[in-house]
Amino acid sequence: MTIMQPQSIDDVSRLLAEHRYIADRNLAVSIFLSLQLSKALFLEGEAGVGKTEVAKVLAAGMGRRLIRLQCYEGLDVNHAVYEWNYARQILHIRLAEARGTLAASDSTEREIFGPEFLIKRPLLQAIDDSDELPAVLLIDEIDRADEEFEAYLLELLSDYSITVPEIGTFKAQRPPIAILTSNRTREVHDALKRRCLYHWIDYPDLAREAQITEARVPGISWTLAREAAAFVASLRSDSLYKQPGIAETIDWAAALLALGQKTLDEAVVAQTIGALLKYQEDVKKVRQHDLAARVVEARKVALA
Amino acid sequence: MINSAIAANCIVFGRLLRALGLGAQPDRIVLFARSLGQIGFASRDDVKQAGRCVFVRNADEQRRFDAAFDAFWSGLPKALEKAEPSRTHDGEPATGREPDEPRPPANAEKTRESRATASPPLAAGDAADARIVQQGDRSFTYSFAEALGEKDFSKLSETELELAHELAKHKRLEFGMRASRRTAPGHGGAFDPRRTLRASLRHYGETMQLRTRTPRLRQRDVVLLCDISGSMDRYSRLLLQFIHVMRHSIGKVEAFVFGTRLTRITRQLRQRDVNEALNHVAATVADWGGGTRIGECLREFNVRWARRVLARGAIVIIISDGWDRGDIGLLAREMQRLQRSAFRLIWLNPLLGATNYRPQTVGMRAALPFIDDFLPAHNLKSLVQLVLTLRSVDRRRPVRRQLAALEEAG
Repeated sequence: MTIMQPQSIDDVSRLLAEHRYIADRNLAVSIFLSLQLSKALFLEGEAGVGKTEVAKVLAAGMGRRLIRLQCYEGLDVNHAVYEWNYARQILHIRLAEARGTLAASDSTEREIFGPEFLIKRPLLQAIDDSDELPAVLLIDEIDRADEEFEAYLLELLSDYSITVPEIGTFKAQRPPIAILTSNRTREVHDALKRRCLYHWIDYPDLAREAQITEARVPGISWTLAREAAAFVASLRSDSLYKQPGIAETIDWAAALLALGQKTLDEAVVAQTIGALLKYQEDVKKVRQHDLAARVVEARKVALA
Repeated sequence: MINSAIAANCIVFGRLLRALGLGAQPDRIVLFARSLGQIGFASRDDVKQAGRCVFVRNADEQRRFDAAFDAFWSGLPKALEKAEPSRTHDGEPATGREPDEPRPPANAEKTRESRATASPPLAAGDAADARIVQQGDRSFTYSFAEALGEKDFSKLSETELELAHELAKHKRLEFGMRASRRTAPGHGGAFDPRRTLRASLRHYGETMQLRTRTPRLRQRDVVLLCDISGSMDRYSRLLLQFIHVMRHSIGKVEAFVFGTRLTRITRQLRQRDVNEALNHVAATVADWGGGTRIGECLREFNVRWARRVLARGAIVIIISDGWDRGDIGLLAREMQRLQRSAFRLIWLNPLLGATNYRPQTVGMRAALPFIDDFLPAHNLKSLVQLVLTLRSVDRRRPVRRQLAALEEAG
């Protein structure tokens, strides 16, 4: 079932839950406000807490097209907004030349910088959407792009319009649902955050993480989901170089399930720890620091 | 819709937030009022969350916002008061502190005080307003006064001026450049169809010349970690001034100081005026002239900050004499890790200025295998020398022999 436009915070929670995204109340409030006020939503949080997933789920739940722009250093207008189809332009000039109409008019220039020679990249697609419903625009990992690109987004996010010098200004009839995510590998400029609603996604508590695991790993038992969540929570309280995110919990739980585990035991945890920890130092630390006791503790916590 | 009493309260609340250093500009306040119009007042937690996503822009601001919210809205009628009793307002000083930074002690008295005053009535009167702002001010002044007694940077030394002057001579401080992924028109790079086509139009579509683009050069980020323990005391002023100059003359600089713990001072150095900036630093840092636990501090850096400030190949500069009272094994491990995540790891040692200096301290010996450049930093001249060295940082990572070093040691 799709909900075209959530009418309340509960609607948002329901919509997310139907697509197996278990959100806490605060996130639902932020999403609801972002939809109602047509403000972009800026999601920040550690890697693997489900920032990108919010956009995917919203698109699916509201029956919208998802337009995704993955940011990277050096991302420029040509890749993010629009580019001219140079090959076609040159071909067009050659044809005009062959027909002998090239020198006769300067209309050729106007033609080759017309809409049919324009390649629309994600941002322009999101603005100039011919569908009835505005799309969900996901600008992923904005902290990877450089400051110049951030500055470009300022105009887009305040007016939802894009100017192509040769053609004119595109303006969204109805603004897209814009979601920006950041892993905080650098601080994003305040000016950009000002144009958005801000939400920090934290690691979930044990109960919710178990729910998420259960929703995302079909066939897993509630006991194993809780034990896995408890074990991961205990890892997060250690000072590791890289704490496991929810995405890692899900991967790991799927791995445990694939190995036919009904419950956690030390040997299997030691074998599969690579699904959770991605630094050799972290793996070593956890293996050396009494893994057995940690497993027992996690099982005890899960029962409580 | 929103009635005028609520609107007035939004405005007063906004002023309180501004007094606490949060960015509550008028447009934000309007947005907050509109949010309230959308979600109503049924749940206090929802209202709080609406405020968060409008006014808050990072984790630190979130804590300040929460405190302000609890204090302010506890004055609202019972309808809003759902279950949750208002938490203590902990009077966070608005000096742009980072989470987990040491908070000045003796908060107890202030807390009691704020609990008494920080429950403004619903009717937005000027008196209540003034009281709030005043209270915000008090938390500003507090931490200043306390720390100024401990460390006095109030006098501007000649050194600072001299240093700035010296650095200004080398006009464009181009050091540690890296090729960015961004390109600019240039000769001999990748084909640039857009400009080529544009140019060809001038010749009726005949391509006379291929235009190309080359990568732009960009300043590498610099991260400074400065030791401020007792043994470094006589240098700390000079070094902080140096860091301040660096901060304002080259691109992105992140600065931390450490003794027994690590403190980020990047924001405190933002002020152009060196006196003010250093006073600010003095007020923030709690462990001047104490002991040193370099290993623990580096671990703290590696775990909490490295991911955020060492992206894109930063240059890391540690300034310390290597006297360490902590765990030496830990120091070696963390140095090893730090070197691997840094593009270049430079260690400045004031003692290196003495001609007969040999790295004898256990800490220095443990760290040495993981340092790319070991340079002196005892006076102005050596710092200028450092800047010139940095200019020659080339595009390639230095060759490292971590494993060999570990085997020798182990």
